[in-house]
Amino acid sequence: MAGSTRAFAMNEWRRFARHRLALIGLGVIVALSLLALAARQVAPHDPIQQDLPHALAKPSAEFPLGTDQFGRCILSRIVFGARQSLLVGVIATAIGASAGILLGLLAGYFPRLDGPVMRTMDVLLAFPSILLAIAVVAALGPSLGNVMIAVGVRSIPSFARVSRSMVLSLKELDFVRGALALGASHPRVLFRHILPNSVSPLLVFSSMQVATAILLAAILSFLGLGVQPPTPEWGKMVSDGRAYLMEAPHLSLFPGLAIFVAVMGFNCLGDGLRDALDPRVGRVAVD
Amino acid sequence: MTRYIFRRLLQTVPVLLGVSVLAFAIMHVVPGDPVRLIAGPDAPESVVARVRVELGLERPLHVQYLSFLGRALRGDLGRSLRSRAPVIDEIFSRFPATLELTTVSMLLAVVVGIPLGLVAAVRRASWLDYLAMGASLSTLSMPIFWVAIVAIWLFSLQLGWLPVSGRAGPVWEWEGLRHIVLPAATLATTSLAIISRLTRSGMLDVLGREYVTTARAKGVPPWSVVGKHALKNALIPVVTVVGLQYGFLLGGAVVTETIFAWPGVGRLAITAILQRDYPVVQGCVLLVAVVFVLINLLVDVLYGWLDPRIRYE
Repeated sequence: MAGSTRAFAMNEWRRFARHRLALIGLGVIVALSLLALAARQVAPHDPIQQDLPHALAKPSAEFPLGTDQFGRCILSRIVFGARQSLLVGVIATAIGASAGILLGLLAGYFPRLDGPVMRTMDVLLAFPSILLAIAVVAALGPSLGNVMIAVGVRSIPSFARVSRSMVLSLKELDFVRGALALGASHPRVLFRHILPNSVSPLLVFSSMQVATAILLAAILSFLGLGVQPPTPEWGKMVSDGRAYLMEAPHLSLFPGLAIFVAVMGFNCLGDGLRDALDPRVGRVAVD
Repeated sequence: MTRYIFRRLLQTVPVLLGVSVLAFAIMHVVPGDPVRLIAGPDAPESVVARVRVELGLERPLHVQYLSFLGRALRGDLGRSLRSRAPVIDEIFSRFPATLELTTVSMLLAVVVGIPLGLVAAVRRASWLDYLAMGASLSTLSMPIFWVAIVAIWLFSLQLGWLPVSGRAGPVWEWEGLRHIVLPAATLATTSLAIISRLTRSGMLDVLGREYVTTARAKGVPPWSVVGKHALKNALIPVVTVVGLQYGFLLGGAVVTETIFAWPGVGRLAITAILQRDYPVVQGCVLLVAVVFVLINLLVDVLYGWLDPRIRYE
């Protein structure tokens, strides 16, 4: 008796902890967004102006995270870099989501489109995402916009798969059949009945996709295919710091930590949202 | 079963055809004239025209594609624009290094990941569980290049235990082993995190089933319930993921190979992309996709063997 009460309490506590994880994730994302928006007010120094006498300074009161090889304040560059990473993460995911969800809806709803669309997605899925993104950027040229496209294209097949499976599970349900029987048009059924009922799983999925998109964009920058200097970008900062790893490891360590915090924020949000929005999944994950 | 395998093999044909179209398209959608690239920027027009004919680039697109496909099927992927060596040789000279790195890192991920997930599930809601799952979620949020750099900084530069980069022979030789530790461990982190999470959720699912309760009630020792009755069924999804990860990584771990200067397929691919060495890019893309599709097939077949409830009809 006592054991089961305790187990019950533990369970409740864990569910709460899960949601708290989502709250923490959300908090991190909001904080980073505010930092990105108010970068000019928050950053202690100019992120681009070189200050060679202070080059490779260790963390101090004036430069809390030290300076890079050009004497630029690492903290300021990280604060400004938040703009690039968040922007790429969100917009790339939006690109992938809008194309992928549309394709998935169509493939799931119209059986004749299913084969061709999903086989095309299989082709895209047969490439490692990094190679695909690198190839796209290499072809289009390195820039922020092209990174967004490259990273966005990568997530199209996964969005298509998720939304297709949503349609397949919803379209035989009574409310959809009812709407059709009442004479609703196919677009109306798809966008007014099926899509709104797929929102929560898609939201969970999107949150995790933003995390992946930020990681992938950072990899592209790391390889020199992202935002071009002197614009501060986290992945590029880690890469630039490699040459000074021996005498000034903070050049690489701190920007990498920033990427980790941002990605962790979106992952926590996704994990927590999944449990909060989808009790079935939550039960499997918790118990 | 044989019929199923045959049908799945047939299904891969359109996917592989699509991949070949995409690989072929790479050469033709990129901005700039590949012929100019080969002939050099200030080659006279006559030379450019000759190279164009030599490469068969003056023919209609569909003819070019069919001849590309025909040659690819016979194992002829053209020659590298840089080294002039056949692409197939370039790839296969890199493949052992990638195979070695991938295999060692997957072994590492499985050997550490499964017990970790198992312990987390059995000791559910203990500090061990929270620690293991917190660590795996954190690992999944770390950029792999950063993990690599931190590892190099700590184990090579600070402690001086392991070499910074490169490959010094096969893994069964001492120097080879020393060189593979850091790249393999770095590469293993993501797979390890995924495997331990999956093992944990699989175990939690299975441990609640009636047949496990029955086994316990019959007085089967706890280690046997966990190790024999539960684990076998919990590992089915893990097998899929291990297979898929392995397939992905065989295509070359681009980032890890780049940072550790590991002479594998991934580094070949990225170098080729950056140098616009299109035949090599095409070859790598084809190889990666074929390996991935075949591993996918293998995983599906293995799945049926592990779980007789799955019927292929």
